[in-house]
Formats: sequence, C-alpha cells, structure tokens
Amino acid sequence: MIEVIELILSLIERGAPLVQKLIQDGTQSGELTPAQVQELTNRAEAAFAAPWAQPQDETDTGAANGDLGDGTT
Amino acid sequence: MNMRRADKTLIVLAVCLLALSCATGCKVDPGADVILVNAERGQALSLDTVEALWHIDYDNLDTMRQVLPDVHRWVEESRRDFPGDYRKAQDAIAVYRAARTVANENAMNSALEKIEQAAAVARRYIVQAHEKGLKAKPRSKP
Repeated sequence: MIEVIELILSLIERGAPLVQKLIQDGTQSGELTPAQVQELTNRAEAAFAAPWAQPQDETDTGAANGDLGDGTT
Repeated sequence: MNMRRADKTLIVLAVCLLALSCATGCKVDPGADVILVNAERGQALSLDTVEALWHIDYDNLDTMRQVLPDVHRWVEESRRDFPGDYRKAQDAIAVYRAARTVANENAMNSALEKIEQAAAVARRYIVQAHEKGLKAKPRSKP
C-alpha cells in the first residue's frame, strides 16, 4: 500500500497535471468558456512545441527523402 | 511491507479508473451539455496524460531506451501522431460546440476515441515507468 501511495504522491509532487487537476481543482463541471477553450488550445500548442514532445530518435534530416536542404530536391 | 504485484496492479488500476470515471462521469452544472463537458474533460485529460509520459521519457531517455524499449517506441510514435489526432479532436469538438447535431456528436466521439485510447496506453506506461523508478523532473506550472 505504501508503494502505491508513494506512486500517487510522486505523480503529484512531480507535477503530473492530470493528478493535480483532479485533486486541487476538482473537475470541470461546466462547458468551457471561449477564453478557456483558447487557453486549452494554447496549452496544447505549447506542449506540442516543447522539447519533450519532439521525436528523440530521428537522425534523418530529410536528405534520405531527396531533400538537399537548400530548397531543392 | 511488500504487496503482491497483482494487488498493487489492482489498486493502481482502481486509482486510474477512479480518475477516468471522474473525468467522464462527475457532476455537471445544470444546463450544461453533458456530452460537450465530457468531451472537453476527455480532451484536457488526454493531453495532460500523454504529456506526462513524454516528460518521463525525455527526462530518462537513455534508461527508457534500455529498460522500457517498447514504451519508448510507443512514446516516439505518440510524439508524431498524437498532436495531429489531438487537433482533429479539438476541431471536432469545436464543430459540435457550434452545431450540436447527432452527426457532429458522432464525429466528435470518433475523434476523441483516438486520443483517449492514447491516454489509456500512456497511463499504463506511466505506471510501468514508475515501477522502474523512472520519474519526470519537477517543472514549473505554465
């Protein structure tokens, strides 16, 4: 049991937004306002642009697909 | 105290199910569209869940490649696929928000299903990573 509690606490401590959202804010109970929709959109785009959202194993720079990197192929 | 692995897995699953049921079945304000509220909850939770796994993988890259190679491979795929799937779900929700028809509801649910499935896999992999002692570094909230 202790291990499970540790896991949950660790998720909270480490900033898992999912768990924080559930515990701290409760859950969303109404439809999002236009401002909240925009906020969620911005949050998603920021998440997708973050370094941890980029593929880490890619070494292909495009040359293998015929891209010479100078605007020509 | 050492718990049996099966017990531990059951409890973790129960916690995940609780989180999921709360995400999709908690109280909704009077007058609010339950379908839309649940869709918006699912959208936000899917994003948070998948991003949490991306954090873990990014912060433990070499270890993830060695210890949980299948998980790392899935994370790499999700980095390529999830943003597009998420945006499709986001667009489908916007269409439903503007015109709440059955056709738009079905299209929205279909788009949401993909990112919620990804989040379900991510939840399972987060547990696996934690069992191996792999965690994300603390980050400041946006």
